[in-house]
Amino acid sequence: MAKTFLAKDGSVEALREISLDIAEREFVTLIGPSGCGKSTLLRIIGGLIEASAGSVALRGRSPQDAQRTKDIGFVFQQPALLPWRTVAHNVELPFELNKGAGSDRLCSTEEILALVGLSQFATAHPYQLSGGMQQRVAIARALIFDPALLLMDEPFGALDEITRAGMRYELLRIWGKSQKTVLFVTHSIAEAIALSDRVVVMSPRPGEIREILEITLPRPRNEEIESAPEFVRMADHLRHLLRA
Amino acid sequence: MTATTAARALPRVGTRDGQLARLRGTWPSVFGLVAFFVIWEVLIRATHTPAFVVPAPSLVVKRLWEEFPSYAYEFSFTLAAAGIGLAIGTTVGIVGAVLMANWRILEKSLFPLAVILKLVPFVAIAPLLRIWLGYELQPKILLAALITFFPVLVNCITGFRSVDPLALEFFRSVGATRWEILTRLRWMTSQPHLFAALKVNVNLALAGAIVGELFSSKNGIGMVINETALNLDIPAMFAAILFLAITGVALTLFMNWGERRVLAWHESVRTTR
Repeated sequence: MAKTFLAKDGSVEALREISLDIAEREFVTLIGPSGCGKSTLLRIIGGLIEASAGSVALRGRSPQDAQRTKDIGFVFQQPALLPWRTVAHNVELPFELNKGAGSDRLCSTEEILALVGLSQFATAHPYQLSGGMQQRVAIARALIFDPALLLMDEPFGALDEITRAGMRYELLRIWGKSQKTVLFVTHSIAEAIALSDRVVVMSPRPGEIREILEITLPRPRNEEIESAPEFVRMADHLRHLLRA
Repeated sequence: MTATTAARALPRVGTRDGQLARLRGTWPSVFGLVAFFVIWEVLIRATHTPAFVVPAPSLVVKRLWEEFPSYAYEFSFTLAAAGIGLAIGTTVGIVGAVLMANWRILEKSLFPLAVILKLVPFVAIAPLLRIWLGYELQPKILLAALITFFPVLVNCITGFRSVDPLALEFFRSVGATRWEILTRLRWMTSQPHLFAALKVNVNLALAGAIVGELFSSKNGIGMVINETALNLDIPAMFAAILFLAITGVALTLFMNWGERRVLAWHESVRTTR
């Protein structure tokens, strides 16, 4: 996949000369200070907004084409579930939309709920779940229709630190089983290193790529990796880059 | 966490304890209501006020008891006019909202007209409707429809617009069509707004039908009130008004029950349990 574009948000230059290639099944994280255009970049790649210059190609096709064939799974900062639907019906929502695209299925609803650890909540409504559980429903909803690309916009941003640290490795476990290409936006240095194959560091407005960091830590990873010397060294390096 | 504890951890709604607590919470309002009628009764008896000025509650209840079958029969006309008018007003309001939400040009051209129609006091057009449509159900139906369509239109449009922007982005990201966004997201989001309009409209539709009957009718509870006024039968008039108060309460309770069922997922319902 190749993505090259130059975007303007009104008269504000949000992103400048972004050029990024992501391989299949790669886990790439975008990190940067608030307002550096990470979310804008993600929304352009997901086809929710248009780039003002340049282009995005997902397996050689436009994001709009990828939307049409249901190849993009989005997870946002908030779960954005439909409160009138049960957990299971929220997860199955993608099958009721854009039916012309056909329906690939990663696995059954029961299996995906088991994967995100919510088997016994299939008939619960979103308001009966905690924020972390709701976010896991949103992840299940983005995975169930087997999209080629998973776009995650600070999915754990609204969670408390304890839940957040746990979700990190839960996501890795899920990713290990589904093997999607993931583009993940975050503020958190620990999150970026723990999850990614590569970390893309962005500079503040206008957003530009400052550095791309390869994370060579072995997989599978768990909580203990965060105290490994290599992890700490990379976290220091990232912190330095983000402060500069 | 085992399955059973997980199930127990879910908030329970509508339990027996909750119902008892609600019952206990209603006694002050019952007391207030009873006190009002007792004081009324005592005042009438103490001052020897004649029944053709203000009747005592006991007399009103007695008259209602006697007249109940005929009032119920007449009310069926009122209810039919209000119900049909409400159905028409609601349908027109929803269809209008769908059209206006989808085509800005329709909103720009039709919405001001709707506002003007709404701003005309509906009582003022009742005589005109009698001339046009006569003494049967039609003028009352039209009046009820005219009154009720606007709240539905406005609330429905508001509901369509107040969708969760991230949910909308999710719909778009999987290539949902406008129709799917309308039916699966906007329509459901507008339910609480629509219900709020419907609850107001039930009473507005009845008021419209009754006003229509006051101006021109062979039947209906409005006609009954007109006749009792002509005969100066004040206790019967009070009885008719009491009848309307009771049906009003019944309809409101019915609407609240419906709201709790349809909007069980919505915070407005969840937090009042």
